[in-house]
Amino acid sequence: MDDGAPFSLVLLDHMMPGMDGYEAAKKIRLLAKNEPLVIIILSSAPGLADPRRLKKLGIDRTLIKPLRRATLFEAIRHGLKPPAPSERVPTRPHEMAQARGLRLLLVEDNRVNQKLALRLLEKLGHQVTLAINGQEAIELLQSSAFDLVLMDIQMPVMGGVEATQKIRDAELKTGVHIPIIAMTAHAMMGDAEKYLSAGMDGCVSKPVRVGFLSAEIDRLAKPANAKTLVFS
Amino acid sequence: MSKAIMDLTELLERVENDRELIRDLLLIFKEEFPRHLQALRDAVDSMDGEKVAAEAHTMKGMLSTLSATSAASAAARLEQLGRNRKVCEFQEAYAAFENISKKLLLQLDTCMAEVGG
Repeated sequence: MDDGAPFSLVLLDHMMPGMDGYEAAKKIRLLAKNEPLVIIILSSAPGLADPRRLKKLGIDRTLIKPLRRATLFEAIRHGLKPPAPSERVPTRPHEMAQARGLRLLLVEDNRVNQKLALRLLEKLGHQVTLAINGQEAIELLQSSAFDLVLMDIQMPVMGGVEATQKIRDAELKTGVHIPIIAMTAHAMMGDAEKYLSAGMDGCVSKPVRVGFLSAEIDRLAKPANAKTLVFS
Repeated sequence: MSKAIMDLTELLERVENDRELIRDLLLIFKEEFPRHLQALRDAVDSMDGEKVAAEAHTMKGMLSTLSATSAASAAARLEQLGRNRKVCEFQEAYAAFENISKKLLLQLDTCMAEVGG
């Protein structure tokens, strides 16, 4: 870039060794000075990026991998135009959540993180019940109906992946499907797929941000389906 | 001047300026920290990789929530060493973690005052 050859668009992978996509974007934006340049980040973990940070780094858009040819083509063709709603990095549809007031089960063992999540969820207008591990979550799901579960991954007694598998097994008898969102610090490539294959429906990275949390809940919650579960 | 271990500005921004929430988070951390540090110390001394990983993971979670990135990284290193059973490196990594978290503890009261505690 520093030999003066102009580029009009840069596609950057998010996770790269040495310098990640965000850091590279920041440097490229500085090098490009005021030249028109579109920077697109390719990420396999939606929901990890904070929109304000992206803006600050001069990133125009995030595309989720695996990339579809049509999406990439559209993104390049439109260049500087604002992204389509379905692709837009979520802002925060607080109003929607406030109107819904969902019954949420928060499964988290760490007290600092419990407090953060509880406060954010309550501010969004939801009713939150806390379970401190997967085992306790399963017990609560048998006695109360919830619209959605927010699940930490690594917990003592029973972790989030095992709890999810047990919940999905129990659901085979009832036909219900409670949305489960993984909350994970493992912002690593491949982890999201691991959670999805364990039966989770979505993923937010920790420390949680209210905008992404809210968007992920709104995307997945279907309140009418809530039922208690029977575990064998 | 010692470098700030906790990025209060980043934390304020992340929780949308909810100072009361930050105050609560700091209070919980202050209350929880000694117990977890002791558990980590015990795990390191007994060379129990699994426990080292679990305790360091808890620390990492709390610290990253508090925007204490360098301390969270030191905990992450211990977690990784624990997972890989690299027992010979436990003590050194623990010392580094303890060192940085002590600096953080010194900073806590200042932060508490800044958020109006």
